[in-house]
Amino acid sequence: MYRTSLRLTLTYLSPMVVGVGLISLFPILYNVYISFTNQNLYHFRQYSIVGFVNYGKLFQGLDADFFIVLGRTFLFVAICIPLFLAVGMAAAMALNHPSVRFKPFWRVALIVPWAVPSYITALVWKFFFNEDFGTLNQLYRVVAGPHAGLPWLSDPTWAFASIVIANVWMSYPFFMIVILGALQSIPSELYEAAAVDGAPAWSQFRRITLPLLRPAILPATILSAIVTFNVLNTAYLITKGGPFISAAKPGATDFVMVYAFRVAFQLFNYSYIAAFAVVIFFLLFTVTLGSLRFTGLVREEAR
Amino acid sequence: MAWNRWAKSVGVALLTMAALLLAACGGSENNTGTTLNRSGTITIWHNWEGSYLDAKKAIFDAYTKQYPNVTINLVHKPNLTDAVTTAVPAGQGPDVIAWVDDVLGKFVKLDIIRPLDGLAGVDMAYMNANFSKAAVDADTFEGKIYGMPETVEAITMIYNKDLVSSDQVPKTTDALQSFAASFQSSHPGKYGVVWNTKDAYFNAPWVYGFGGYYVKADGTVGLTTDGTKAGFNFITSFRGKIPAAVDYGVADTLFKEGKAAIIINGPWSVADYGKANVKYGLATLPTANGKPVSPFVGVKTLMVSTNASNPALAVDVIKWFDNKDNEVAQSVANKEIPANKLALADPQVQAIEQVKGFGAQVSNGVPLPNTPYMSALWDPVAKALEAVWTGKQSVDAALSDAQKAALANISQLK
Amino acid sequence: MRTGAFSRYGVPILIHAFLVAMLIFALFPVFFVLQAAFRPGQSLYSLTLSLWPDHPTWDNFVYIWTRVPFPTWLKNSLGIGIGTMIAGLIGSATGAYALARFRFAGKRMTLILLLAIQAFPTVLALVPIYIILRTVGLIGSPFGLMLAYVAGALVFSTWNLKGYFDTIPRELDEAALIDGCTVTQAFIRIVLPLSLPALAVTALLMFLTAWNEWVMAQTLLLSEDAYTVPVGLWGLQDNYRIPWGYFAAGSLLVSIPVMVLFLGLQQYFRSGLTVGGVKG
Repeated sequence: MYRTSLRLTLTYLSPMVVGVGLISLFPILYNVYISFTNQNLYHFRQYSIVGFVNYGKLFQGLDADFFIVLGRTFLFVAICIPLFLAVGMAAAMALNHPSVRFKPFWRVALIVPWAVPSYITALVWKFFFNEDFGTLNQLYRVVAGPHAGLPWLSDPTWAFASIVIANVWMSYPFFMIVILGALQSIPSELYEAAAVDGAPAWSQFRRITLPLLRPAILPATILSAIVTFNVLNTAYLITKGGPFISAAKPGATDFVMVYAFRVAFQLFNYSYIAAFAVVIFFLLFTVTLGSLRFTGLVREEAR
Repeated sequence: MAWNRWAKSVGVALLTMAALLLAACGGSENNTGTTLNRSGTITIWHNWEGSYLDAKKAIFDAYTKQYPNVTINLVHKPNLTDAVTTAVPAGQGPDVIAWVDDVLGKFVKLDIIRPLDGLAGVDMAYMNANFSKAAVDADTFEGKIYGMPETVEAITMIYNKDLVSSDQVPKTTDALQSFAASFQSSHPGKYGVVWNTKDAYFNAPWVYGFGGYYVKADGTVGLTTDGTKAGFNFITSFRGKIPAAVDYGVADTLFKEGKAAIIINGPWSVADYGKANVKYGLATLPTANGKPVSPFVGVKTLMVSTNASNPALAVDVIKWFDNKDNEVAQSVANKEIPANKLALADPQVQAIEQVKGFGAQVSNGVPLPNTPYMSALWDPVAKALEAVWTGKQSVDAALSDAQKAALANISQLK
Repeated sequence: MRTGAFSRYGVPILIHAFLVAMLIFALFPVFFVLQAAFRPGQSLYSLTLSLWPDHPTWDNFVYIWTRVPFPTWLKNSLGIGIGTMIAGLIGSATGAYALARFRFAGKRMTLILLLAIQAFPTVLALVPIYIILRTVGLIGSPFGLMLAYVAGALVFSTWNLKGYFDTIPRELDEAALIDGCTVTQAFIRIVLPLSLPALAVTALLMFLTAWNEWVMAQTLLLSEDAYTVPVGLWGLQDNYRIPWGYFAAGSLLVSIPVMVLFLGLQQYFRSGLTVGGVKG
């Protein structure tokens, strides 16, 4: 770690800081500002500052939509991330194994879910999950009889699971790639030394691979958690937030952003959604900070 | 030391952002150009494509040939309504917006479009003389004219001539119910009639047809009226006779593959049905309790943005586009129903089968509501439809929940 | 290595079985896109379990290549994708190097803020981003879009690269500095070449951020000639119809450059670290 001139530091940092400042920071400030106004359909260009009114609306009562949607999204993330990690890690480890030949072929094949745009694959999955004509149920009928059918998209719990499945399919390549890249940074001498010491494969994995992968996996996990939390495209395209068992309650897959999208762009209550977004942001911000501290990743750096 | 410098740069950044915000909050440029001056560029954002677009472009080309100082710039914009809502308030966007009338009220409130009264000779008298009443109603809001109607469309019954003959097509709602049942038993694996039962637009005919309504211009919501309940009960009576997981795509594919005798769909779909080799015929929707049911009539409309630098010219251009001869030409080329009533009466237009078929339905329809309150309704109605279609709620419970949600939405809009 | 029968044969068999299962999982949906692209009539599927259309046709491909400006969109997407990739590599590599090697006040704050700021949803950032780009005059320009993409993906790439740089022994840099290199030369000559796997990951991420994104692209691009592929494809639908045939054909074509890029980059997934570089 060395001190360098401030000028050099700024030169190295400025592309990143300026870019992030403009594109990531400004929208936050903007939305904070809007959340204190009453901007909506009827007060679009001439709006006024109204203080904390929108925040009050958010938290009305413990069964307010806000808490339902929030809890549901947390659950979604809690289920998805371990699955992403497991599948991505398994795939990366398998691809790295010496016994596998034609590695380029396997690598390219397994990255395909990422290569094909999500706006079409989401719709393909929507078809797979179709109760009457979808492929999954057609396959199921082969074993379960001609009138059987799993309620993939019409039952709330099944719909939730369906989005998880589709999301795992779309997201595992990200982890696979990051882990594959990071695996290359582990010197093979470490494994050889462990093998000479008689350590079994599982122990090698736990003691060598995992710890050394941690600096790569952690930011990826945090980022993926944030992205999954903010999922919009997939959920919206497949279920639009449904299935709905009542017009007065959020649907089974009405995650934070799906809900926000509907309220903002169909009901035009921009200031309410800005408040919503600000609260969500602070929540995620705090959780991220907490997990960074907790894993000691940040403490190590401030040497 | 370094901290001070950091803090200072953050301060500068914040000030800049504040300045940007203030600039963004300022109003749009002043509009001059209320006298007609046929020179300049008019940009139109639209969603036309393929051969559909070709016919329309030809008309604009004829205008620029006649007035060579005018350039007309056609831009195909995906997700038009979202793009417009972002661009126009930020001081940009097109001069003319080509979309459907349901966004009219919303765009007026968002200060995105401007009234046409008094520009290029357009006023209520002109509108009433040239366009059908439904079209004029659809394009007026709070007493002012905000758009030029282009074409009208409505859903109707499209039937497969190989599966059902024209006299077998049911003419009353009761007959439709029994047809669905009998067709299904005589043709296992096929369906008598299909449509998207979970969408508010596709089910409007039943709700309005049985005497109910979604929302009125003043914000009254009619979801718990007897008429609406009767409509919903009618829809749920088709459970088991239409696939449970039906949606637009499923219904469409069923019809294309000859597995459904009748589909309720709109004029945009028939071209593909022809390509799928379905010999289709058109029939008006059945009557309910002796009265014809009323689907929504969507009026495709050309609107002028508040940012247009030469609004009079813009109005002149769209007035030209919607005049009798041009509407006839478009109709013949694209087989659409013109909003211009003089064009509709033209024998060339009347001879087109699709125009006759869908046109007959249009005269029985209600205009697609242009009030912003309607946007508060799509969602609750769709959810209620889904709840009753999957059987998770009874009609009464679903509708009362939907009413509550709709009223809550509307209060948010105010 | 214990050369029991299980390690010798069992493990590779398990691994290959797993890989085959993953292959089916990964490719089956894509296969559907493939068969939709060859299906006439613009349907995504047939209602009977048929794996391949009865009358496959090239029409969809021909249509999107000739009747809509697909080649233009492709060109635009390629330009923006490659631009994003290069700008992103530069921005994140420099930032990551500073964060990994330099000592300066406010570093801890920067690290934390960077990652945590990503929590704000893009969809709601559209309007402010539009305002900013319009103010600096980049609205409608591909550079504006590139800025948005790069800035969006920078944080993670920086973190990822920083993690990788941290595994490269500082002694290597210091040896170079003692030999008279400047910091920048040490960066370019020593650290970067050893980080090829991580740089490959970053390049891929940056490209993909730009390639398949459509929400921001359709808001920030104003004229038809500037459209990228996702914007163009998405514009093919109208009202309720999605023309599946064209959509699928376009999506398949658009996936090919990604695969090519990945094929090219994945040769860098070789261990770039030689511990022996420090001794002697």
